[in-house]
Amino acid sequence: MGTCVVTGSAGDIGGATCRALRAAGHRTVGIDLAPSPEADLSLTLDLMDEDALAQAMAQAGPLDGLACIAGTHAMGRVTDQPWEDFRRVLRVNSGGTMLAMKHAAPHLRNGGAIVLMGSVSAHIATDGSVAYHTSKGAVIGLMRAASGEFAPRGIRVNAVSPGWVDTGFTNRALALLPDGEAIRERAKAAHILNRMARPGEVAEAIAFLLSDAASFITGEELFVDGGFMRRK
Amino acid sequence: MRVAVVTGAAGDIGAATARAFADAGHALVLLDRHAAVLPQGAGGLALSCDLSDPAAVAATFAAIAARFPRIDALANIAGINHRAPVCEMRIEDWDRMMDVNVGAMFLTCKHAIPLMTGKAPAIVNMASISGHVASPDYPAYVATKAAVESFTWALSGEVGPEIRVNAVAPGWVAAGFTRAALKTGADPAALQARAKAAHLLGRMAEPSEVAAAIVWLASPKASFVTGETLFVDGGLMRVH
Ligand SMILES: NC(=O)c1ccc[n+]([C@@H]2O[C@H](COP(=O)([O-])OP(=O)(O)OC[C@H]3O[C@@H](n4cnc5c(N)ncnc54)[C@H](O)[C@@H]3O)[C@@H](O)[C@H]2O)c1
Ligand SMILES: NC(=O)c1ccc[n+]([C@@H]2O[C@H](COP(=O)([O-])OP(=O)(O)OC[C@H]3O[C@@H](n4cnc5c(N)ncnc54)[C@H](O)[C@@H]3O)[C@@H](O)[C@H]2O)c1
Repeated sequence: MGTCVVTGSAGDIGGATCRALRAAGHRTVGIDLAPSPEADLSLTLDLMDEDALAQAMAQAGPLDGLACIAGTHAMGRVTDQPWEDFRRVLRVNSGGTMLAMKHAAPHLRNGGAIVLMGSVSAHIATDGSVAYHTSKGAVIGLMRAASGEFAPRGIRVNAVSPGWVDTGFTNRALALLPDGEAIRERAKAAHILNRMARPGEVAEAIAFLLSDAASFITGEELFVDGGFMRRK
Repeated sequence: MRVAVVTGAAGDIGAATARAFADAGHALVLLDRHAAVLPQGAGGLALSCDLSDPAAVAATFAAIAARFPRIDALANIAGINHRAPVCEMRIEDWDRMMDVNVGAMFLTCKHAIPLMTGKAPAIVNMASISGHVASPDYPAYVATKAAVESFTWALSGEVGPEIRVNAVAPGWVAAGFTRAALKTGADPAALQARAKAAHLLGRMAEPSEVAAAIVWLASPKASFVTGETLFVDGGLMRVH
């Protein structure tokens, strides 16, 4: 089995995705601002640096798959968020995803697959994360648009949308809030499965969508949310 | 060994799903109105049953429980179709559609859930893109497939966190009446051309591709997926 590029591979979900893909027999190339210990080859760069990104994709070699997992977050509301914060979140989450696809495209084999990182945040909202919600809505639109663009090459494009995942990303976001621990308990109860996802559970869904077992799935958003969207 | 119950197992998608569960190491219980055949090398049993008949389903699950005290996966695939515009449809035909496509699923869930006591049990129901689009002349089919999804969501809340419940929604599949039309219809080439235009991937699905999604959703690898409809539609919903 061939090579898959994973962006955000130094993070919890990206690291777990490298592990799942390696277990399925893939070679993994990680792209992140920080080194990626779980990847076979770790390339450290900023997704916003197009030249470095193009070079990294060429170095990664012929590709079977691409998982665009890198993401970031900033607190802020419409009325108080600094424009620069808003732009940064959109640039990384949707812009970085767009650029990763753009520069992976020449190296992806026909019949390969791409998975983007959505979120239930594209569909529901909590106050104070305007940029994040906006960026994840954009990722889902981007996924649908790209699924048509890549279809003639037999390249499938899908997204996974987690609910809460038990990661450093979540812990850092909760730490910014005065009532973080109470929110964590409510967050668990917001899922039918009564807990947050483990990073490995999101990774398995990504690995499935990248695999031939998903050969007729494209343009689809797979919720890996423990029933979050169904619980009101 | 995990035990998988597959309904509609004498049909094309059901048979492919039985094969895929067997390949993933399951013992099988195959249910259909017609005689289903265990795939080569697979263990288990095949029982004939009209799954829309409450007494027959109860008796069938008593027979299953006598052989397998535990069920790990239930795939509700049995289904029928009926073509008739609303103003020409008889209530008897409407009722039959509901009894089979929705009622049979309800009955098998009702009897299987008490047996789903093992590690990571899961149910997968058969929805369709038809539950989401205007299909002229198929109002009952559309309504039953939408009902399959709503039932899936309701049940996921009822039996979670212990049991996961999901649905698959295929586009066109080279199976059942679609396959019959390909084999014996007036113009199979025109049908293939319509399938090509309808799906981003330029073709209809093979039954095995739907089966692979069902088996994944039923597996412990999908341990955080519940209350979800997975479209296995080659991008059909995304085309307009
Ligand atoms: N943790 C959750 O609850 C949760 C829920 C839903 C979706 N997600 C999404 O999952 C993805 C990964 O989340 P995580 O929890 O593993 O977070 P994480 O912070 O552990 O990982 C994100 C990684 O992206 C990298 N990254 C950020 N900006 C980058 C850039 N410009 N160039 C290169 N790399 C960059 C970071 O260095 C980091 O390693 C994100 O897209 C996030 O939005 C997370
Ligand atoms: N073929 C397609 O294009 C397509 C697309 C989307 C969804 N589906 C759905 O997939 C499922 C399987 O369809 P298929 O294409 O394999 O068709 P099929 O006709 O080959 O299989 C259906 C099976 O269900 C069985 N069945 C029907 N009523 C029953 C009853 N009362 N009791 C027991 N068994 C009964 C039939 O005997 C048959 O073996 C159906 O639910 C169908 O609606 C099919």
